[in-house]
Amino acid sequence: MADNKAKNDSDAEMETSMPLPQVTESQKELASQAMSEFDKKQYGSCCSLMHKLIAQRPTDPKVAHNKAVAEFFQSGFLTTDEFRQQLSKVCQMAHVNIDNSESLEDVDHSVIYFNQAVILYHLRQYKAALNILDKLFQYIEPLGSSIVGTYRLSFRYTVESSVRDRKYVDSNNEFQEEALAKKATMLLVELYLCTYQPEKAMGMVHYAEKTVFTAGKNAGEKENKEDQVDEAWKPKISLYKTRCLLMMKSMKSCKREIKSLMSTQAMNTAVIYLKSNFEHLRGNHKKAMKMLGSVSTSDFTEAGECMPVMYNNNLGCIHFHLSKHHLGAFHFRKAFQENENAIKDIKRGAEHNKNLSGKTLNSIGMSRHFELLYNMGIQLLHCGKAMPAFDCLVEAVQVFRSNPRLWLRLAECCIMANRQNNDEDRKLEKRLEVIQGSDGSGIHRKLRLGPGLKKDNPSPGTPAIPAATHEFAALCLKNALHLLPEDPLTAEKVPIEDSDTVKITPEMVLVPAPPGNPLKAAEVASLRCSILAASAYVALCLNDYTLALLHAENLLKQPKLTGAQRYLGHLYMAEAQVAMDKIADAIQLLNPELVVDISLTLPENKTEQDKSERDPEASESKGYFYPWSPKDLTRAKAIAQYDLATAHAIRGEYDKAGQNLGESSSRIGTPLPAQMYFLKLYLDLIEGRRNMAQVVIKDHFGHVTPNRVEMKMNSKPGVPRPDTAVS
Amino acid sequence: QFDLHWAIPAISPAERYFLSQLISSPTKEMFKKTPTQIIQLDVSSMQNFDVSGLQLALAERQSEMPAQSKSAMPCVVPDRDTKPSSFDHFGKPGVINPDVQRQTIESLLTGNKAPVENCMMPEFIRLAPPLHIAEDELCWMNPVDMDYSVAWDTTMCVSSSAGVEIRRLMSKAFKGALTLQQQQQLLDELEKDNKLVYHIGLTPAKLPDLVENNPLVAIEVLLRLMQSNQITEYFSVLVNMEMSLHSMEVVNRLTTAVELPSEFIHLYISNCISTCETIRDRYLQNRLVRLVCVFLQSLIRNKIIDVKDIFIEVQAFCIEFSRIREAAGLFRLLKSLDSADPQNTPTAATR
Repeated sequence: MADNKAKNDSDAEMETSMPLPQVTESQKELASQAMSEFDKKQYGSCCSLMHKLIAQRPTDPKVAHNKAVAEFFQSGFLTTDEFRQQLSKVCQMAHVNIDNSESLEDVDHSVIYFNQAVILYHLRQYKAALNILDKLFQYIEPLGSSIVGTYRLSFRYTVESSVRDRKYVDSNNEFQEEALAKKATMLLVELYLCTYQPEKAMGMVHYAEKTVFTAGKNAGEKENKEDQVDEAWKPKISLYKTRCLLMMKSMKSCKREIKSLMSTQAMNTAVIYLKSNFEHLRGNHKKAMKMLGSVSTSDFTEAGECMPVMYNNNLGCIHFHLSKHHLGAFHFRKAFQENENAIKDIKRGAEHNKNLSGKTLNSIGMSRHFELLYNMGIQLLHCGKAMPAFDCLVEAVQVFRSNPRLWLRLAECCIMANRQNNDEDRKLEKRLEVIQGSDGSGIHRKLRLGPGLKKDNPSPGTPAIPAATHEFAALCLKNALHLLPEDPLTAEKVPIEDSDTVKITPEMVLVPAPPGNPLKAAEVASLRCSILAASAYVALCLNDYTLALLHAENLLKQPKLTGAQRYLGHLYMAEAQVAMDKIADAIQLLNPELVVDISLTLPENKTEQDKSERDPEASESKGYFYPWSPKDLTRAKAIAQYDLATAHAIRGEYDKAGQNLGESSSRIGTPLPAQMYFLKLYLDLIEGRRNMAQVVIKDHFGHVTPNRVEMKMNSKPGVPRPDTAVS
Repeated sequence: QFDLHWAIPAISPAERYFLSQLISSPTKEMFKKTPTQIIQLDVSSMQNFDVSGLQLALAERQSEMPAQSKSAMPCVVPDRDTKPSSFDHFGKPGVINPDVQRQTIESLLTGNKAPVENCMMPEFIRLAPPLHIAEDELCWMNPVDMDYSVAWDTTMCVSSSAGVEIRRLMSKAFKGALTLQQQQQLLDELEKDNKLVYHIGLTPAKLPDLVENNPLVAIEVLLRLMQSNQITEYFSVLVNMEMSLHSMEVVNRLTTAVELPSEFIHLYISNCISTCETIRDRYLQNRLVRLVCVFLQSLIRNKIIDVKDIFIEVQAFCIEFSRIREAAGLFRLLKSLDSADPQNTPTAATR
């Protein structure tokens, strides 16, 4: 009961504050004047009219709202802070809780919500803006929908023709309502695109095309004005469509859309950039570059975007794909500088003001700092600069943390920071680690062998603090794996009863990868393979063999593996198995004859591309990979055989080990990896062929010992000669 | 002939005895002896000298360990100079130089990472995976050719007096019954302007209040909202609201006016039935059961629902409340339809 009473009270309160004084004719006149001034962009006179009006109607939230809008326009969108304050005041007057989009109940308040969403959009709070607009759209949609609209138009013109002046106001009003619906729809599409939901955006565009923007088509004979409006929206819709299609990477429909765009507005910068983006995605990098160059680069677009930043960034993307990584990095750096400069200019203007004010609304969210860091980081990684890349990406991941591929890249930075590449083992400094030196002299001389290349120095501090360590890499990879949709391999096993779910799984949803385009199913699959391979490797480095075995097994189960991934999967699995004392299994896996393919891309890919892209230019290099060794099959086999020798050696089968080592060393290519010297010395020493070992030492590490074997043999004739001949 | 630097060199029986004593059961006496005394000990007569048990235990223990952990060898390898390397050494091959000996021992045994603590074992070449290859990874930037700017509220001061009045009436209608005159005014205004219904401040949450207080208005409003994409939300509120005469009236009128989704009607019926079954108050229960029966009869007579879909549920309901006259009537109606049905089908078949 008490509750009820309270509710009644609050309702009563609402009631008392609700009724505004009646709108007088003069006020009405004032309002429509203000609106026409606003439409004519005479914001100064509009403001003064609004001041008069608010003096007469101080409690009217709509008047307060429009006064704020007019002032905001007059300031040239510089007073964002103030506008937000005014907006929240209006909300109080209208009893609206702007932070809770659920509270939107009344279409009358839709403009307030829309404006809030606009501000949020410019502040780049896309999710929050989207929440509001999603809800708002439900209310606005019936207002703009053609069915109701047309019906009402004819209704007005036939039945109610007696009330002439009111009719004019109302039909005008309705037109405005539709304009708001259109604006909201556009913003909604934009927000879907900003949040990388191209399918939703496309759905909305299609829907809008059918309803909101065809309003008046049927009544077109009567209303020419409406039709014109529709025409005016057409190119914009086409632009949206193209962006959606590009994001979904559906090239065929995109081509059609772009063709029609180019035929109508070939001079539009946005169109040219989209076309260039399209050519870039198709692999026509030169064409893309030419398109970009054809645009005269004024510094800023009307929407407040900095063109030089975009131009350089996109050039960087193109060079990245052309495998010109250092040139790409150069362009990204330039884009970075342009971005910094642009921000500095704005900041200088904003110095006197606090917070957001002082920048125009459009330029608040202009900085592309984090996108550029992301691009730069990936580019640097491909330049082989692991540490600078790590620094870039670790910043970027704070903003784009839902991107699984970015997490993988971060892990790759860590891996590369600890192992620049696989040829590292062949370097002199590594080989010098085989024998660290000698102690004493004369009868007391001792050689100190190195303990091996493996370094088990756990990183100081917790892995949660970003540092280019394997521990941190393991965390990154875990994140990456979690962000992927469930592995269809493991998922299918559980729910077989539901025939519906099985049907759903094939049409995989796009996985977001901000700030890049979302991932398609095939990309997700290949990303999963890469993540699993990296996970197995990192787990081995952390001596977590159980986990390494798990990841390697999982990797080998994946349906589409590249040759290199299968090869690595076998190596990792074998190493983990040896550590877990399943050497027999490992020896089978390491059979060098099993290594038949170490290509880095999927074989089907090529044929698919050949089919889909007849364009001869399109076939220009897709090979923007970072060089990976082993480069050829012989070396890959030799490495597998070396690992085989190791497995045998660990099992104590020294003859087999020696034989495999010998074969491997003749094919692995020079300079030999340091591990081979270790194993050679190990095998000789463990079997007591001290002289053999001495030959190797004297030949390759002569600086540590003065003792030649020949001399030794002369002084000790008892040593059997055949031993030395084995090598 | 073979030089196993990693093996423990052969030890004398005395040393062997000392070690076995040390490991198994050291006697106090032994600690009093100097190393020289121990080495000179005559152990041939000693008993308790059998270390084979110990060796067996060791072997057993080692067999449990993975091969890899047994594969390491010491890193320190003797490398006796074959030629004199300095002037001192001339003419005295194999002579122990205590200074050099001490230095060597110190450098091998001491320090943070003393070389003797290191060991070396076969090691895999562990290849790092290649960088992931992605077709379209970098962020391409396209200018946005749209200006999303703040909008002007065009409804300022233009909302007609009718709109304000309607909203006032509606807020009244949520709280209590309107007079006939007020109702008529409301319905007239709604009739005049098709879009007005979206502006009257009716949300799904407020619908139950409207239904309870002004069922007629609720019906009109809902009929006008049929095209709204929110209509299902209104329906679900209606289905789940507390059952009452008014809500039933609204649903009944709606069924006759428009085609409602059948699952909605079924849901409503089961809701009604379960309300009747769970209610405690006997008098109220009777009243509600009567209402439901009349409601169902009207639905069936008007062929709004297919009896077959709800037959079992309704039959059970009738049997449970067979003491009430209307329930019995409904039961008879069901039976007659049921018996009429098989007659219908054969005639249809013969035709």
